Amino acid sequence: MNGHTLLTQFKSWTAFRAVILLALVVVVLLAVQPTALGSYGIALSRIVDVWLVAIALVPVLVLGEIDLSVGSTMAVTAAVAAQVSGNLAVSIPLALITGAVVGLINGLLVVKVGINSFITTLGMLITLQGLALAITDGAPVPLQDSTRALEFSVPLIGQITPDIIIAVAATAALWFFMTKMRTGRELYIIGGNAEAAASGGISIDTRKILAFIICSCVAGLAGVVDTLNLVAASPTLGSTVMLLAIAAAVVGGASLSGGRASVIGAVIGAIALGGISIGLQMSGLDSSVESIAIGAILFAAIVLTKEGVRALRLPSLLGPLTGASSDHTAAAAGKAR
Amino acid sequence: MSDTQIAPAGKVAPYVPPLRRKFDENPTAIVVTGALIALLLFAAVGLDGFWSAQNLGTLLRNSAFLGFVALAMTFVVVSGLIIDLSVVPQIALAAIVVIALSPHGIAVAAPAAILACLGFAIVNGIGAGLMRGNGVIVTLATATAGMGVLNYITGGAQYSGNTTLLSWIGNASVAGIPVVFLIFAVVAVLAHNLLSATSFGYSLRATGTNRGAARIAGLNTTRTLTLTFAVSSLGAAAAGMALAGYSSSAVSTMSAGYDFNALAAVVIGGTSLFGGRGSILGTVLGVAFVQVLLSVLSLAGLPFQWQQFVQGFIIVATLAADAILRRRGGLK
Repeated sequence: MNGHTLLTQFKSWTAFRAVILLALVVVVLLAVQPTALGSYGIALSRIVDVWLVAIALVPVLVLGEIDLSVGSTMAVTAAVAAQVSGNLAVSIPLALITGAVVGLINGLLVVKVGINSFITTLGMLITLQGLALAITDGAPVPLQDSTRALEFSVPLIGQITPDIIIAVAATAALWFFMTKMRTGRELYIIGGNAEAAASGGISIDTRKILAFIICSCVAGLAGVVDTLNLVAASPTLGSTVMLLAIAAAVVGGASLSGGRASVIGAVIGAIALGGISIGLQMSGLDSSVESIAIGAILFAAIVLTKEGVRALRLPSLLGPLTGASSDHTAAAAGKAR
Repeated sequence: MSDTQIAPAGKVAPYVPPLRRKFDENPTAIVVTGALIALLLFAAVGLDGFWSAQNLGTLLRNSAFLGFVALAMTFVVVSGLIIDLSVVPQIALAAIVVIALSPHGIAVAAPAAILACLGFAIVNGIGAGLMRGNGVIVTLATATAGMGVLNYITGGAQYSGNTTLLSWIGNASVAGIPVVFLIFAVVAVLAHNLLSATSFGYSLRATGTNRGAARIAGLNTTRTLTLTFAVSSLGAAAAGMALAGYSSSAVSTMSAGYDFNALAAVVIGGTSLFGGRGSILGTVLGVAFVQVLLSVLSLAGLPFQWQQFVQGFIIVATLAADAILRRRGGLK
């Protein structure tokens, strides 16, 4: 590793694919939909849910697990926030606790019962979607405390509304936890090599359950923020958010096999993918075009790994797009960004 | 699939009663059989109209529609890919294509529907087979994009039409048993043979047990996994065409929930989500359980809002029971 040029350093940064994508999106938006960048406050508000869910997935993804129920968790917490009590000071904490309970159930099912997390959380996706429908009786529920909710859309600094500040604060907290705190860094070690982590005395089970709880809690926060933004809870919230968020985290450097994921990368990925989604909506295209784009991006984000591109046998063409290879996993534990 | 246990030299294998041995091999299937019998007894005593000829006909017909997908999904689970979420747009695609092309006759419409579905298998095969992406996320991506394409082309419109053959398959009965169910029974036998007695089935099980080892041993795992997705597409196409024949109409939203109900049937039937081993007979049992449950839930008058919750809860509970029973039985 002598050639530490700026370029190789940039390429070994976990989030570098997301930065490239974001730059591309900004350039295209400037050319096609400059208003999206001019009213950046509104644009960011519309992608704040994807942002929050993308960072929520980081602690779970870094362990090589996944939570596909994040979208339904949003719907359930939103339903709790709007339905259970008219007083937001009661219903918002209750909603976040609901999120934590969902995470605890996911974690126990994966760790203690031993079901694959893709399947556990797919099952929970269906169950929680049903629960959200049951709580709301199948229709959107307006917030009773609407004045408080409307204050929520008043810009504080420039165009920055409180929801964006919440997202930034959550990002900072999660970034600090994942990179500076012992427990968070242990998640990287477990994801990189579980056996080594176990023999190093790390309790894998409790760390995994904790990761699922953090994930569902932050997803719950996304549900609450969405409810405040919309001044109503929708039982069908979150199905496209989940897709975009997984794609964002993966574009931002997360590997589905664990060991590598970045909070900052997930945010950059979320803003880039949210930008694409907003650009398509503002261009007046049908929502089906958006699904096609999201599906294509998710597909590309998953298969364009070093291993995947090598299997295509055309390495020189797409090689630079694939990011750090998976043999960085152990090293990533030490210098996770 | 270890039916016989070989005793180490000098030791006699302990006697295991036949029922206990069956339980150890597929604990879930035994538990589910019990639950199914309990459910049927409850329906006989507590629900009016469950045992009527009309309801039983509907039950068998719906079992066949879900059954085509579930049989194919068994192959996906055995291959270690866990689930093919893209069956949802494929079922609707097959139904829409076969109805849109029905004026040209079934000889044109059916092959076109099957070919359209196989397009998904190729993309899934490239993503999850060749490029080794995660099967769940790759098929989630193709399902999302595929549904987008379908909605873009059809604009959400409902298509009507039919051919005499499809309508007969979807609606007719022979000796009180719906034709489509008889076809399902034949397909189940073929699927059992394909999984247990062909070289494709063998490489499939080897790939599902240990993909890396199978590749090193010289099996073409990319081809095996792509063929698995092709089987899944055929199942989805069969279900889509049968549904179209039954209702003489097709719309892009008609197949919601088939992905997860099919997986539930497979897992309830005792096929391991870890891949490598599976049972077609178990899947047939699982399909029966899921459809009887759905029928009981709707006849019992459970509100729509709660049905999805109960269904999801039961699926998660079965998965949990399966995992616990397997660990106790010493299976992985």
